[in-house]
Amino acid sequence: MELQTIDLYKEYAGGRKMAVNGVNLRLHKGVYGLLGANGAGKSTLMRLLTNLLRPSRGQILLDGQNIKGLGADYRRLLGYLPQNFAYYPDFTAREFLLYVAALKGLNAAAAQKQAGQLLAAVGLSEQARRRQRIKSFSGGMKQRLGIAQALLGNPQILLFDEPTAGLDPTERVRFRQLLKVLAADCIVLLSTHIISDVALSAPEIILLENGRVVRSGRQAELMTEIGAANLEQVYLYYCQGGASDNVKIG
Amino acid sequence: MLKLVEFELKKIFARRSAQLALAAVLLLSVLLGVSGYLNMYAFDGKSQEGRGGEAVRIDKEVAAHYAGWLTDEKVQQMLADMQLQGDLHGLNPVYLYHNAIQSALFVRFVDLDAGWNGQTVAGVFGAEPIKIGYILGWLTSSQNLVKALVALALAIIIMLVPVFAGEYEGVNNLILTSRRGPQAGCLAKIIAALLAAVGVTLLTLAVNLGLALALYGTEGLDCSILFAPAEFSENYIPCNISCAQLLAYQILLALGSAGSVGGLGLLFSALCRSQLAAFGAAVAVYLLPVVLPVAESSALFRLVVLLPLYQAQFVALMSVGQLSGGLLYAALAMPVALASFVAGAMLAWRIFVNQQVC
Repeated sequence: MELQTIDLYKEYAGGRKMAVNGVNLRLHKGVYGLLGANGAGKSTLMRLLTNLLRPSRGQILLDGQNIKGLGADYRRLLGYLPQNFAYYPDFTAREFLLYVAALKGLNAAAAQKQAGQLLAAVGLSEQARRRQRIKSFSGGMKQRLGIAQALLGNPQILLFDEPTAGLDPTERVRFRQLLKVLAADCIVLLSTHIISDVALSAPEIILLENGRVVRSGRQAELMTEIGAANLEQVYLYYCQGGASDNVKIG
Repeated sequence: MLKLVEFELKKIFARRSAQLALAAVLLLSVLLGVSGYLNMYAFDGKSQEGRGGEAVRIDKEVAAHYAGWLTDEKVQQMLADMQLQGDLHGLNPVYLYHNAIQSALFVRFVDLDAGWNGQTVAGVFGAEPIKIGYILGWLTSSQNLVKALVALALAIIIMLVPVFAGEYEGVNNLILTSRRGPQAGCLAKIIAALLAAVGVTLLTLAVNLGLALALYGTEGLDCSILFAPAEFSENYIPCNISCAQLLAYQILLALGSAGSVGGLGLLFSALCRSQLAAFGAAVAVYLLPVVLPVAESSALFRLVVLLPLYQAQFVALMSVGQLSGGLLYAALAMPVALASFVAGAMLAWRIFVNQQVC
């Protein structure tokens, strides 16, 4: 499976602001870290890949076919955690997952089974058992629920926009372990401005600045190329010019 | 699909605003019904006088005495029985109220001196036979129901505004990227909205009609609404239909109102990203006919009167006139309601699915 972007542009304000500026990418199975400062265009690129936004120019192809024409066949493969994960406050975690499962077209038995498994995987089984409503969840618990819903239906393309925001260190470790398992069968694109998350879980790196891909490749090669000791130095090397102030070293 | 509809219904009814709006409508229904009953007044013209339940008993007793087909002989008998004693001091006898039958008689058959005005039954009502009896309870209940249904329309808007607008807070990301979200997910929203609107309308109807049945009984359901007290004769429905038919039309139009208001609510729910803005816009459009400078005599009024507001406030709609074959003009409101719902829902669907999530 290959997800490809060809000369992808997204402009706003009649072309005065270019959120995504001629991005060309080829994504295969594995974890890709999309790194960039705030406003670099990471979330816009994510939304273009989910088809929530239409490109101003360019194409997104899945195995050579434009995703615009694939419709439900493309959405069937998608798992998406948006940057600001929203939920229904009066639902319980299980109800929310069952709702998303119904939207994804899972039958009742599969939905129940997967919801139970995912709640356990993200450490929300106890809250589900107590029928605790989402409105009483902490930020980290809501984020874990967001991760769980993205994984429903065994998607083959996983797009995580700032997935570790609000997660405590233990949960971040658990999330990285989960990514390693998923990497074998899926295209995983991880967008974040927290370098350590990407450094530990994404072998492939895409550096984005002002809507442009300034560099992409295997993490180890990028480091060797410039003699960097860590990914942070790679980032600072390629994305200098003020953006480095926005980078969190976690 | 059923599961999705179930979730959408849960979303609608789990909201505090929806619960409060529905509770307010039901409370209003009970208050209107009970206060209308307690404020009933009747005097049999001889010795009995009372309020509330006693007034209903007296009214029923008087009505039972003359119940049946209205004839010229019966009119003369009633005029003789209900002759006024003493000077009216210039008061128009039409506005004198003793009991429901007396008021209905005076508004049609007496002159300014409270004597017979020379009119015959056929002269007043035409060739159709008029069945008379105790109808005040049902007419009062029907009038209360109009107020409750207008309030209910606002409650339906409150309930349905978050159906799409609520998703703009972020869950739209998940709905629109899921396999079935843009199609089955949105269709489930529309089905749930319709079910919710129709469901709360049936509940409101059941509470109002159940209360009316408990307070006034079944008397008068087969009697004509034309031989009614003064407050119902003026500017009221000019058709010779029974109370039961009146209520049937009102129920049908209430369901139509639920559909058309539902369409309106869904449309603005998808159009406005803020729930408050969606509510304001939908209510403004719903109440717009009130401020339109269209006289009832104008041909344009025949169109205006088909709008959702008049489906709930059905008296104006049913006063417009009849179509050929004795069909009431009000029947046209049903296809209008259906079209309003379908158009509102389809546009809302299209707007929601084609949005660009920035």
